[in-house]
Amino acid sequence: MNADDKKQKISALADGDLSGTGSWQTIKHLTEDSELRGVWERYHLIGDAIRGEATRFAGRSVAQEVSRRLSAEPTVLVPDHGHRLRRAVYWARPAAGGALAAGVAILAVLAVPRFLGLERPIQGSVAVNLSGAHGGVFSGGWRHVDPLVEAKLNRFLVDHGEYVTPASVPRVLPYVSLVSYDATR
Amino acid sequence: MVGAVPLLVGVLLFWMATPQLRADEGSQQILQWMGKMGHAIRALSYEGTLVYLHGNQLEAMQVVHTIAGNQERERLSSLNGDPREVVLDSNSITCVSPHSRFVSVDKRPAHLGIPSLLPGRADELGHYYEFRAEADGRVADRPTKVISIAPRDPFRYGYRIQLDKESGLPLKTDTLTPDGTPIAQIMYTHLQIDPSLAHSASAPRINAEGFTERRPPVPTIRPMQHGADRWVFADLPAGFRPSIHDVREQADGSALEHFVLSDGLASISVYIEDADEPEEAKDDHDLQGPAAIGAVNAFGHQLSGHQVTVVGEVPAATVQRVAEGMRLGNEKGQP
Repeated sequence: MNADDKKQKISALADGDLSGTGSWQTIKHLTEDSELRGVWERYHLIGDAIRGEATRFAGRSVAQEVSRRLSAEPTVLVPDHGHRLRRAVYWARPAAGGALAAGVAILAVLAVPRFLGLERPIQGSVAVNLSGAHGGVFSGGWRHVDPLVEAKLNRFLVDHGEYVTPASVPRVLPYVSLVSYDATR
Repeated sequence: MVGAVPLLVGVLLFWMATPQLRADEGSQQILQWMGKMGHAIRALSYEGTLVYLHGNQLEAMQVVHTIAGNQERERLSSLNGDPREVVLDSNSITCVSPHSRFVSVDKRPAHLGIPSLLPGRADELGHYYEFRAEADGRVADRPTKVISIAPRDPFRYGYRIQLDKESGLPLKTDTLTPDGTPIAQIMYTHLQIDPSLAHSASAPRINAEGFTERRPPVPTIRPMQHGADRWVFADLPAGFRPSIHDVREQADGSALEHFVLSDGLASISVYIEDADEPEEAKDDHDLQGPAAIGAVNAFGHQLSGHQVTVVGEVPAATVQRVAEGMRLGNEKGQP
């Protein structure tokens, strides 16, 4: 059994789709191979996110952890239906190798709602749980206003970015906000 | 990040020279680190992957920053959803959105107005923010120096910045509500500093051929002329005051008046347009009330036949207070 086959089995085991001899064999592999245990943990991490269990993302180091664990191989998981992980789909290694691995992996997590046919990410999943962080600060997102208003606000945001006081706070912030804005949501 | 360093250095030198900070070795150390950061983000060639956490969203994007001679260029590309990218160089900002087949190329205004204003205010920052160093950290597998900037009132955000000890690059920046709760976080998950990085690496990747193009005129920036304008900011949060004012022509020929307010660290933009048809405008493309994206808040309303839109990376209460505190005075600025 090659490494990819082992990971397929681990994915199936994580989903409860492996039983009998297959499961025992996979568990044996997990006990013997720390790298595979990392894969197992990662599958659960992504599964938690997809199922809306954001608690593991509450730590500030989650992206770092995801990146670190995925930097060695950019395998991503795509569920075939519902909120359960079913099978692993192996993507080609990006040209930039490990540099993009984290991005691709997180991309996969973020893209899952679309694979599920949902227009918006599953509420409470994927991202850090900042419940309470808004504290009245956010009364609505750009995405919740009329598209024409959004377009105008985006122009203002870009323009404003040019005038952000260039002392101490990285000026990437306004542009990050713009790039991260997803008009399809 | 482009073009920030001269001002930053000026601010820091001025600030370090003030008695208040001379007496505080910790503050001096922090300022030295921030000076190192300002230099690093402009002078180094690097590429990396960022994650941006805001609200309940986690986004991933790639940053490539290169230097060719005296020219900087930086590309910020979304890694999730529809491709979107922003390319900044010394002269322009290009935003490309294939989803809407739209490209916007803004000429960057010369940063002539801000430097002449801020150094004189640097000594005031301590009135509005508390600066302190925290225990060292680690981000993207690199040891970091951790700096905390805490606001002293509820009208501005705080920041917690983790700087790469080796280079000074900001590897993690947390934007915090006034009570210290993270509202937006930007963190490198991967960073490669590479002096040999080809300048072409930061070139636009999205082919915008055939896209609708917007090329607004270059605004003429001039320092705020106190008393020379007809708008009065009657209820500004402590420390904020107008620093820049310009009037530019929009694509449809209408005038857009723009004020920048700053407390020396946080900035707020106020955009004012004529609103000849108020009822229609309310349903058209003008913001009425609050909106937010990430840590950026906006508030719009109509005032004396004008549409006023306030945008800034400050709490919602701040943009609303600025907007609602405005008054239209006479040409000499008297209400």
